[in-house]
Amino acid sequence: MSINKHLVTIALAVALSFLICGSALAQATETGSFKKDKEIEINFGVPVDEDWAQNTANFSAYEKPDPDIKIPIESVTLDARKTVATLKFKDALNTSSDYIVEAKDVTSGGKLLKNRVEFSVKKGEAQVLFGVFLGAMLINNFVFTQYLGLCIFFGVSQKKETAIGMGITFTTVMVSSAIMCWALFSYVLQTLHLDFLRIIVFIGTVAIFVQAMDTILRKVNPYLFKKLGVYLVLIVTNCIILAVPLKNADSGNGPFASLTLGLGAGIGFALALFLMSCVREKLEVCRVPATFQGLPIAFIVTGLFALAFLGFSGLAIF
Amino acid sequence: MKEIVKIVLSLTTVCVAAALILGAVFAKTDHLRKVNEEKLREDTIQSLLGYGTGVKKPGDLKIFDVYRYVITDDKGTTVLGYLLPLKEKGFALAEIDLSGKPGKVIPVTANAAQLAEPSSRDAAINAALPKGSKATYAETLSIANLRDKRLGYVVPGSTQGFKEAIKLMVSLDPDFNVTGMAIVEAKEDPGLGAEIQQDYFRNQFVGKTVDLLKSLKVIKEPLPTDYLEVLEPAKAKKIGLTQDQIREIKQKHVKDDIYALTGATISSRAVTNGVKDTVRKFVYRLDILTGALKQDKLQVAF
Amino acid sequence: MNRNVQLLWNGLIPENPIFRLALSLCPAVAVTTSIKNGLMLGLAVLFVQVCSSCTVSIFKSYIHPRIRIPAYVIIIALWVTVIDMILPVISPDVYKEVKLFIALIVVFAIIISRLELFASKEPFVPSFFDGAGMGAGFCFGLVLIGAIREFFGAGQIYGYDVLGFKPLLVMILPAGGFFVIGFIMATFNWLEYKITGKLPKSGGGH
Repeated sequence: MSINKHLVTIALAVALSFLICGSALAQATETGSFKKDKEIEINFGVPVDEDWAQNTANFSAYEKPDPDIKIPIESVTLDARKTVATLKFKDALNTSSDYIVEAKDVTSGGKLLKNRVEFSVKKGEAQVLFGVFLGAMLINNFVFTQYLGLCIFFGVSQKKETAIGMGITFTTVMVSSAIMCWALFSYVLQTLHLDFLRIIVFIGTVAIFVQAMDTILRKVNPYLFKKLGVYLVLIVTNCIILAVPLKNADSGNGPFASLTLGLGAGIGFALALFLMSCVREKLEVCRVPATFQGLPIAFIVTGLFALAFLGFSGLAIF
Repeated sequence: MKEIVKIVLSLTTVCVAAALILGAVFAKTDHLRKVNEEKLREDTIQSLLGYGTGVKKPGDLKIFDVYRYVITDDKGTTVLGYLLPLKEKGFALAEIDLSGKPGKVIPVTANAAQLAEPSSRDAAINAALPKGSKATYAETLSIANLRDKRLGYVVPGSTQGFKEAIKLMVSLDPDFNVTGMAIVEAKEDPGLGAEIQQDYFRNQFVGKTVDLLKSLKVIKEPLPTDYLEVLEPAKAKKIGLTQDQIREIKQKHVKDDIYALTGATISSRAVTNGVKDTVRKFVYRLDILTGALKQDKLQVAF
Repeated sequence: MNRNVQLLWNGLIPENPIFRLALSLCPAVAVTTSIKNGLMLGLAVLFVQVCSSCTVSIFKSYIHPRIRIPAYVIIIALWVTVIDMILPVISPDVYKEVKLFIALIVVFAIIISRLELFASKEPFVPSFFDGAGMGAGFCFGLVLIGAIREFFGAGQIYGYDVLGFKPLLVMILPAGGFFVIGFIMATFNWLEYKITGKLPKSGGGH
């Protein structure tokens, strides 16, 4: 009976989070995209008149926060099917900023179609998400670059087995709590102006979630529980589990960005754990000076890893 | 059953007590925190204008804050609104549409203290607007007069840095040449990107004219040694350069592009583009505002 | 020695939370890029530790054993939020640097373990000194690491230019932090070996 109750609660929570994400995404308006740093492409969906399109006076482009500063358009060209217009600009555009392109008096086949169409142009969602993911996993790896999660890191990274176990458990908890904390923050804390309660609410969410996972796992899959259960409790004292929701709240990330940050953080942590465990297993059979045995040499190895990961700092694809 | 009730009651009491204590502390400290932030902002503006720590602020230095708002009415039309201090006591909101045409001038009833605080300022402005219109805050421009003659401007800006957004402030002289640049907020790597806050980077922007800014780039070359020496005032004093020598060297390099920081090209580029955009937008907007004020024959305090 | 004073001393060297108990290492690397940052966070942790220890010790009979962990977490979160609100008023620029870590004090294993091991069982005054000792030891550790990293990495002490150049920039980067802590830990081990003649078993780390 209690198993079903837990399962139902979990299922409801998951469904709710998907609903939230879905509704957030459905609010997207017409979108355009950046093509190279001096061009924007917009898709009308229907063929438009060539001579209307080529008149740059019918278009205006500006950065979203500065609607009064119009950016001069050099030329507008249509593609073969006359549905996609490419606007060329004199100066390079700032691709990390949001732009709006307005088209007025859209004519198609000689008839006036719409008085005004607004296109929102920003860096592709998928690109941004991938950038966030790569950032969390490699460039700003939470262990080696942001020095978070060290507490657990040194305790669990002694054997490959424990490292992998912790990595999997942690990533699961991380992703779910990232989404739940985002939902709580956006829909509850901000609307009620209870911003300052974020620390308590986030850690509370994590604690409840870990407790719930502990109970579910114990009943639903005892074998998995025997292998991974012990790590669950340790997760609550892992710095990363609180840092990710806090970062999401500070940067005002949307649902998908929050999820990706959590995923990247989890996988990055798992990666760090795994790498470290490989080295430490080898260290067991090395001749380490007595005063360095145990933690001191582990710290120095971590330092070497941190140096290596510094090499990723130039990795900015998007 | 009794166990569970006891547990739940116990936990709830702890939570409620915690929330109450936090609420009380928040109410007390929030105000102080805002006061601190405002003071920090004022100090930055003063030091950019040349009156930093140690230099006494002259009595006839007046700094006026002009607040820019974006106003949308219930029909969906968007206009800009500038909250201006008037020559004869009082404040007014001057509306200018998106193509630069001046619109109505709406008096705003409030005193200076209310307008300095963001939430009461928003409330005062929204109260002065017709029903259905909503004003959202955009930015604060600072205009400085010394002895009633224009001393300069301080304009805030922001740009996307290597890690997170960088907030900066640029100070301009009456001809819109850059007289200073300060980084208000940046979370870059210490030793690398964080060096944008150092004198030898920020002072490279001083002296750049509006025309030079238009074509300003970032070049990946090391700073010439003589330029580096004059960019840090403390170092120049230690070496014993005279004011004339310093001026000469600065004049020699004023047309140079910005020398990127070692290992922080992206941060250097971000700040440079931030400065260029900030100045460009400010000059454009100030031009329109001055024209609108002349047309409306509005007498402003600055 | 008076038990309370002994508790104070305990947290500073023999059971120093960073170097001997190896707890709460995250901030030890992150915040110690300069003495000032390390000191500020250390004092914040001292404040939270002492307040939490005292609170738990006073209310220990009212906290039901089954919910003690969530209760501890809430009490710690309470004091952390209090300091999170007070610090920007006292010192805004330092607050900007350590902002993330103030919030993370909640997950510092050192605080919760002290509450579990000590404050929930002992009366008010010893709990106060235990908390003070551990907090002071933590602060001392942060300042020590910060001093080494700031001196070798930036050539400065508490912001004042001492060397006039940056000898080993790597000290300020994360890698340097790890190296410094590793060496300090080894030094502590060596000191213990010299004083007591035996080596400690490999550290805990949680």
